[in-house]
Amino acid sequence: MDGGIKPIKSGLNKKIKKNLNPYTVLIFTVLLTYCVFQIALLAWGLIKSLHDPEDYLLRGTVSNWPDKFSFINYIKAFSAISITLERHLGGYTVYLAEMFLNSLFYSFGCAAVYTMTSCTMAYVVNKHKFKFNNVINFIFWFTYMVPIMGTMGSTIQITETLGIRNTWIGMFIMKMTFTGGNAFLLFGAAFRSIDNGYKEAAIIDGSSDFQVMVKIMFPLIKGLIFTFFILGFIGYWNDYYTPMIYLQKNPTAAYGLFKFNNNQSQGTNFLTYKLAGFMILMIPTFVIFLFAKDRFMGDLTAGGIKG
Amino acid sequence: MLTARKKETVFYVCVVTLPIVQFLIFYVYANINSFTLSLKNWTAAEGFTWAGITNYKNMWLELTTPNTNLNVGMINAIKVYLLGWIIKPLQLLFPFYVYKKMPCHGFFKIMLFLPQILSTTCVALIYKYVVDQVIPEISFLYFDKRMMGMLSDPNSTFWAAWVFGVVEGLGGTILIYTSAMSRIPETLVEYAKIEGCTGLKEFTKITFPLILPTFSVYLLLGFTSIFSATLNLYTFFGSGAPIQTVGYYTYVMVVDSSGYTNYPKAAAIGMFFTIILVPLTIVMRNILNRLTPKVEY
Repeated sequence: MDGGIKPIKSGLNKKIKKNLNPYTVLIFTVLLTYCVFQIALLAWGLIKSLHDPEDYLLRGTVSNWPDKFSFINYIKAFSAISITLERHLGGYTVYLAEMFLNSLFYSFGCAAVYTMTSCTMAYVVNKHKFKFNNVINFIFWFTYMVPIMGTMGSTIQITETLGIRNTWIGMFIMKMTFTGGNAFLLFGAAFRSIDNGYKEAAIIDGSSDFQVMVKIMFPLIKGLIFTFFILGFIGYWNDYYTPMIYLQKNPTAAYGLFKFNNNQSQGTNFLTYKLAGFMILMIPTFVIFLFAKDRFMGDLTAGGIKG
Repeated sequence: MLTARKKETVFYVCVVTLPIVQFLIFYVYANINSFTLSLKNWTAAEGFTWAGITNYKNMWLELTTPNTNLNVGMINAIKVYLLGWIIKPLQLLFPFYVYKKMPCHGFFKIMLFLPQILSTTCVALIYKYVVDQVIPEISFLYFDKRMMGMLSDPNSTFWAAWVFGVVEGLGGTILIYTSAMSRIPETLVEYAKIEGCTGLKEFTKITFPLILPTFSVYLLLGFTSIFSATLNLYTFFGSGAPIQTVGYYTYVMVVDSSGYTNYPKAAAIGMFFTIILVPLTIVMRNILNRLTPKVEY
């Protein structure tokens, strides 16, 4: 055993010595500081979320190491964190569990609609020759490169006129877009790299254009579709701006936690519950990241076909 | 029987119609509506009434009067953009570090990507607790020195918010730049190494020139969002931030609006900065296109 370890150690030392120059040391130090900063924030949040609430209130400080650890905050968060909505007859209180269901529906729906819209648009533009493709490409690049500000009020007004503000269907219609992100570009690159022979052979065999798209082309880039769906899901899961404006009656967890946190009247009494709520919100995306990190880091850097 | 081309056309129309209609409503019409909004006023009693260029006049007055919200917001937005140039070398050197597979590159890559995964809202609020409560408490308990929270103290709010923005945004382009760097032919790097071109020299002579097209695209995108920066102020403070940026100011104006009262003013500010930015963006794009060599590898 010992004989096997020594060469690895000396190989590692050799590699470190080879890379040891002022640039490496400087960047390593900056990166390490960056990591310490990130980890320290998350560690403080995690430790305080496990701080027994009675012990926390007794001590009355936020910087001390807890005497007692407890998971009670994670249970209490579901009953303590709530927001009250105005409905037809009086108020209606939404608790964290319902907010999570809303988050799930919102994130799944928006990610699916946005990913599939970008994917189908990229497919038809790259695999079907029509003059209108130029218009679609122009729209994409124009919205990508030309900054237009201050349209939020106008968009709210439109959704109210159409009667789709605060509705799920309205939210999904707003996400039915291929602009405003890299998905259309990367899907386009992936479709361009697929030989047209697949499509032609399927058409000769009697498949319709729709069948070619769904049964042949999409499966060839299913890895990339999955990657964009997951990244979209994570983005929407964490988004509180959009639900705050367009989905107030169906508050998501991100919006609910933000609103609950900003309720100044609670002071810091609910700090441990709030932090437990934050941790609960971060757990799903963190778990997804742990399991899928290689996949979407690889897919996004390659931008190509993965089985 | 429909011909194959006609069938293809029907399929094509079916696929593109909904996204195009969505674009026409939520982009084209939204912008036209925003422009007309900027020429109106709204009151609960009268609804919308035409106001000519009053909103633009008021906006200009506010913009040119020192220490008003819009004036401070514009200065801060420009400050954020200029400070972003300090971070640019790090945004390139970090991916280079990862690309060259230097010590702990895998761990750093994950840590840089992590902010894209974890909720910015949650991390921002944890950050707020730490800088506004934990640090002042430690300072008082252990060093007997009273201090205000860095975010709460108006003198340091900008810097505390900026540091957080940098930490959260630093890894945003890591995958893109690492990807661009990893496409550089290995033979070219090996040849440069034989010629004695290693470390920072390799970065300046080989890597950076070859990823310049990617860099210039992100440079342009950064420029186009100059007045949209919010420094996460809404997440930190809700509507009551002690400092302003244009993006935050207009956002709060709409979110806190009673009825449609503030919409015309926000639309006028948005239109004004759009009119300023569009030609500048085109000029910058042309300059970047001229300066960026066409690279094929």
